[in-house]
Amino acid sequence: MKILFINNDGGGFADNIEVPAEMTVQQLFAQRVSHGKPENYLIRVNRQPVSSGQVLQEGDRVSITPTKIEGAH
Amino acid sequence: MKRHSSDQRPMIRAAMKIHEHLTSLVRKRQLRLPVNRWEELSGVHRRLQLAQRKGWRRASSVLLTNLEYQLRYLVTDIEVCRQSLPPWRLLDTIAPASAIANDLAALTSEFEAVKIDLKRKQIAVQTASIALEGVELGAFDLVLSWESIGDSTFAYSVIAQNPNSAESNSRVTHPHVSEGALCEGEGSVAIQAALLSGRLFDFFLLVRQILLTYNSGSAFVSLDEWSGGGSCEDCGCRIGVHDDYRCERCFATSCRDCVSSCLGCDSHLCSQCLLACQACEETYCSSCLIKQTGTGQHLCPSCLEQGEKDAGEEDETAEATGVAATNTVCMGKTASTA
Repeated sequence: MKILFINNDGGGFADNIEVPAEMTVQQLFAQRVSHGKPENYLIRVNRQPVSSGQVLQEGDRVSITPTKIEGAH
Repeated sequence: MKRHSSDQRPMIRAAMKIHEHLTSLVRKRQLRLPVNRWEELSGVHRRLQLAQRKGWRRASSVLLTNLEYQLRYLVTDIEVCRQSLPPWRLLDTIAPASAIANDLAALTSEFEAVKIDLKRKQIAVQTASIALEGVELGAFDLVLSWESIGDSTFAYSVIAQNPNSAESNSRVTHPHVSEGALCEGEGSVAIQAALLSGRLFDFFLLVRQILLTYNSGSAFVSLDEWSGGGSCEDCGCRIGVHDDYRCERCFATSCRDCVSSCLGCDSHLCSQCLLACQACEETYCSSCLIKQTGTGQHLCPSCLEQGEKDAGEEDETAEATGVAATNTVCMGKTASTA
């Protein structure tokens, strides 16, 4: 099934991707952000916080935003 | 036809205007190939070929130099053209107006307040109160002027509601905000991508997370110096501008709890410069402690005096004991001869 995946880490990535049916948020995170820990990110499905076990649906909008982003001067 | 509530109408109208602005940004950028430069280069090349056929060495040399300059300019023009390409690709990635409207609606669950001003063409959200390392900075308004998206200047401002500015610089209301401008640091590229794509939900979240993160290595004013004081060099606690003490020996900054006075001269000293008398263990500076001859101990004047007095009494006692012993021996001898 197709979902919109947005990764706001680093340079940012936003595109429609194909994922297996019944894929959970946790599985998607592990696949796409293999180096990161979920607790260090704001994970939103259709702009709402969700549990890691939530099963994704066709057309879902999934965004991942780091909780710590360093500013500068 | 679906009817929208009066609450939703400003949101939908704003979303449509933002979408219109973003798509116009892309369409306005015209891709210009360096055609003029190429024609000029071609002209120089033709003249060079003529000069070479005619055997005109001097002309050939001059034209070769000119050709080299033209080739360099062409390379630069091509690179400029290449760098202008990305906005063309963005046309496909701009969120539809409906998605932008959904973004605006979802902001109410992430922020304390959301305001849409159609007249000023602004979206403003209010963060919760922010505190970093114990320093209360208060809430901030993030104000996006959507018609400025794509301009070279900042499209948004970060305004402190009740500023707790840095003591040394009133324009700095947050370690990474000066005069309403956030220094985006690591978030810069993601923020620009979100803005140009119309992903306003992501944009506001990114800005908020930067405000919630303290980067001590790169701040307009560090939190250590926020209230004007520094941190205690003994215990590390943060101290205010009127609560810091300077060691009169090494000039280190100490807090009220860590600074002490020399009992001899009353100097204010840090824990490193304060020493203890090895007899009474009271605290003195190194100048007020005296090294006792013989023992090598560092003693305060009182203990040193007492020590000398005790030593003097021991000598007298020892002397007296020694005389008595001598007399006893003599008596013993006398007794034995009697």
